[in-house]
Amino acid sequence: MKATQSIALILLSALSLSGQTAADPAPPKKEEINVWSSSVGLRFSYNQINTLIGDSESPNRQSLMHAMLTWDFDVSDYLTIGLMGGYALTRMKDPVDFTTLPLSLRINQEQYAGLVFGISLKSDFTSFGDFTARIQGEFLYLLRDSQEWPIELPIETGTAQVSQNGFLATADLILQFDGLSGIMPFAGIRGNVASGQFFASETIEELTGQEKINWKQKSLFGPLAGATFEIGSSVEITLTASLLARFGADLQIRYLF
Amino acid sequence: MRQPMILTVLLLMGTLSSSPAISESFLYVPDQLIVRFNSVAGIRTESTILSAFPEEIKAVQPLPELNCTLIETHPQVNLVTFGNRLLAEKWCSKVSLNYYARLREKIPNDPEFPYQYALKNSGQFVYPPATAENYSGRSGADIKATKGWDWTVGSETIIVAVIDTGVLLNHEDLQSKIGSGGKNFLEETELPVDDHGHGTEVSSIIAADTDNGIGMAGVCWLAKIMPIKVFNSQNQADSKAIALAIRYAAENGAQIINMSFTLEEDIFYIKEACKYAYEEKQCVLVAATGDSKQEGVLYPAAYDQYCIAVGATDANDQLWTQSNYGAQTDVVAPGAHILCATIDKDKPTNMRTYTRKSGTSYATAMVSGAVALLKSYKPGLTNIQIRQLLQYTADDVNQATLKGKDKYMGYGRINLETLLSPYLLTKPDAELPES
Repeated sequence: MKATQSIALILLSALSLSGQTAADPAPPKKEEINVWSSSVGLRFSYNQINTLIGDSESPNRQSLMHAMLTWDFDVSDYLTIGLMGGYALTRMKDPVDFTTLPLSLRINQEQYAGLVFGISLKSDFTSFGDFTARIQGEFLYLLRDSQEWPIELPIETGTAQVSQNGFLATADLILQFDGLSGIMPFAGIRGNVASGQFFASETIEELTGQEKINWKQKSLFGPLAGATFEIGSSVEITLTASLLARFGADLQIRYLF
Repeated sequence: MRQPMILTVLLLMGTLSSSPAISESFLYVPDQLIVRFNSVAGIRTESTILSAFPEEIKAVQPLPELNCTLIETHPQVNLVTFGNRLLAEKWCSKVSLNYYARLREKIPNDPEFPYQYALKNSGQFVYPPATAENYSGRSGADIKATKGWDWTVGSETIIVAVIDTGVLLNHEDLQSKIGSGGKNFLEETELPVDDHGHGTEVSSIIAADTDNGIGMAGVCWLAKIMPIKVFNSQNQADSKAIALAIRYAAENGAQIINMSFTLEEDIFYIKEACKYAYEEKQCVLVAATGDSKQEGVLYPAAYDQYCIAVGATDANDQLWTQSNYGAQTDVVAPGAHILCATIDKDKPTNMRTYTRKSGTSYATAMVSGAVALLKSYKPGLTNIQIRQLLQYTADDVNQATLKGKDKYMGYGRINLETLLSPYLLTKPDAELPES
């Protein structure tokens, strides 16, 4: 063991000496301390997504409202990672039927509350003139509370439980104009994939059943536009509006450290 | 079929109570309430109502034709809770949700359908008006077939075995409904042709060719009949043949076995045949309680573990006077003066003859048709689930005198609307006091 350490020490000394002899003394190198800049913020989103539920071919519009805390941090000059979490509300425009349960069930325009968690990636991958091209994406997972309902039939009674989950994955290709002071408008194309499931179960005396219905988004692509407003040196407000894939608006207030 | 016209109407005033039998009509327009002012408490104007509940009410619109006012609420307002608050105000006498009414009915074009009160009873005459015995029933005393048909009219993959006198195979309303696998246990080499009439009558109630502009409507439009002849022209059958017929039906693809006959005795090999069909082959067995006007469900309906025992009602949702009853009775269905196809052997009109008959046999056929619809719509259900669902969705039509399951009507008269349409989930507080 001691022999190995001695050899290593000798080799290192040799390398060090060889380096000193091979070049002229260089000026002391400026040390770079890599500090990740980050921001925290609040984000409010309202979106409407046309969804196809089960085998149905007619879309059922799903409204989603999110209130989230966000934390973004730059891991390099070109990449920002964000984490987010908060509260979500969803509502279907048309009734959702569970028709393979023994007793078919229908939920009608009920609002589901629950949690939303997500991760985002953002990269300003190139700039030219006053323009910056950006690609960004995010993945949100929606976990709604299970709701319980009474079932009252002429003689027997029972209960039904319905819950819902789902995800939204979004990829945006954006061109931002940086030539204005304090405001940076942008526009682009949004690709959006949303999918999830409804779960229903019922118990009426000895009669029980479960059903799972998948839902998915109908339109996958659409335009988006918005602007980021700089308020002072530490606060940014970003407004985004999108159509087709996700019809909605998004307001994000960020404090930059 | 699944996208009917929607009419928005004011259905109920004064109560938002949830009904035990929730139906399509219980959908309502979001964010709207309709109120009527109490004139005794003085005149309120729309603006004063708006100012009294600024956080709940978005807009107010008078409906002078209805002597009501439409209140539009903000989206976050719970309509039922807010409706209750309004009812507590002196000036408010009635509150209603703005319910949707849906024309969710499927009416077939068969010329005899208007006289099939069992399927849809609008208080019409039970017979065509010229008949001396005529009487009219009570509107709504029916199995709600037209509303059930909005969800399904059946499937050709469903086979109902009818263990009976055979079927008139060329009857105009049945000839296209005979599936493969029928059998004549009296003459093995012969077709199961009906020489009595009963089997044809029962089969037509289950699955007559419907919406074909001819004759009558069956409960399950598309199901196929497997005729199994064990009864002769004198309405007699030996119990060995019945047991063999039950096993034969189960082994040859029948999902439902209709047994519109009764036996006085508990015969062990018939019970074993029922057990085999029910447990080994997952068949649904439907049997008649009997027509001897007495307490005591006859066999095979009395094999409670395996058979759905069916009693009969009349056009007023009363127990048919001759119907047997007992603890094993599961459900009832109309069985008095039921229109059905039959035979008239000696006449050239044989294959287009119809009649009216009464008996638990015909009520049993109604239930077999209902099971065929349910099995078509939800093929994954087990025979146990089907039986439970039939029971739990039946209307407790004699609840005024005997609330709950009783020996006369079991769980009640079957209801195809409740059986097949979705139950609308509503919050527990979705109930307002009577005003």
